Amino acid sequence: MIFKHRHREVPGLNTTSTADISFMLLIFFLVTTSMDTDKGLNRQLPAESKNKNIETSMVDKQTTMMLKLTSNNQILMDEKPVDVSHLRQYAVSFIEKHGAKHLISLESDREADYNTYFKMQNALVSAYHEVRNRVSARLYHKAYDQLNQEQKNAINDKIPNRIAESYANASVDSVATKGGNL
Amino acid sequence: MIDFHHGNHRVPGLNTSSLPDLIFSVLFFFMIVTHMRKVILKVKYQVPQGTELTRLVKKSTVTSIYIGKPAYGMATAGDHSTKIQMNDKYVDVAEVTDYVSAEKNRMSPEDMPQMIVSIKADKSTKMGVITDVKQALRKAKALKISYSATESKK
Repeated sequence: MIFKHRHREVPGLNTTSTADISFMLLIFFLVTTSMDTDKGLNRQLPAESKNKNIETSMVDKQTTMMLKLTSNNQILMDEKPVDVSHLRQYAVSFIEKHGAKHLISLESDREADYNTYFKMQNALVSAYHEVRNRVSARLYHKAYDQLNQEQKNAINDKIPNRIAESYANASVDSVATKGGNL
Repeated sequence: MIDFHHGNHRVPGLNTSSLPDLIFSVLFFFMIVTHMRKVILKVKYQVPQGTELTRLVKKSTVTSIYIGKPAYGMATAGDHSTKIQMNDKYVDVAEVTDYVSAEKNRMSPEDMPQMIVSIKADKSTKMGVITDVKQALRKAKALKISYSATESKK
């Protein structure tokens, strides 16, 4: 018989289209991917006080920096207009001068733009960063970011983040509450 | 004697058998770094630029609130006021507290204290809305917030 003598071979799997298939998948993931771009300015809100009566605490005018954001997007520092680019310098010297006793009070008008507010917050964070870096350079001869947790805490005690923000004009409830940002 | 003249002069074809492997490895890279957008944006916003930003590392602890003008086709006629969006739908300022609380309760107990609310608000949003949202977050006891922004080039 002829069948017996035929040489049989299993044909190899044709893989020429694997590249095309994986290219398709690759392009899909390339299009849908959004790299880790979620960044932001971290802030801590003050806890809501249970009792509705307003806590009064003595605040020394000397060690308080009043920042007001007006409805036409102007920043008033102790009632005087100040540019956002200069705010950082003022804040740095102010925080350095008063150390742990300083207090920055924020008040923003409901009509003000978020952008200006954000720029102001950014300047303040940057100022704190600068002051902490200076203190850490003086004490440990290192940048603040390179310190261990214990040293960081020591500096945070010296230069605490003391920003009080007014929620007096929130529409949800109109009880004036002030609290500190971390 | 070696016959040079009759040697095979054809250039061999490029071997592409490793091409799929190569593309597969690039594919896996993108599969790992990618994360799908879970919500459909109904507001358009452009976040402000800042310099002192930190990365939000743990995705499972982050809840986003989008604030901005309604996206194209989403606005009902003549309504161009600022909207707040959470999880696929517009919410009212008064509802933010409930939504955030619900979101917080859905988290695993170890994630709960680390909950961060990322406020993705448009640059031109009025501070009134932001203040209201922040007040609502305080009520919901979600005290860690992050003003979403992009890194500005100095």
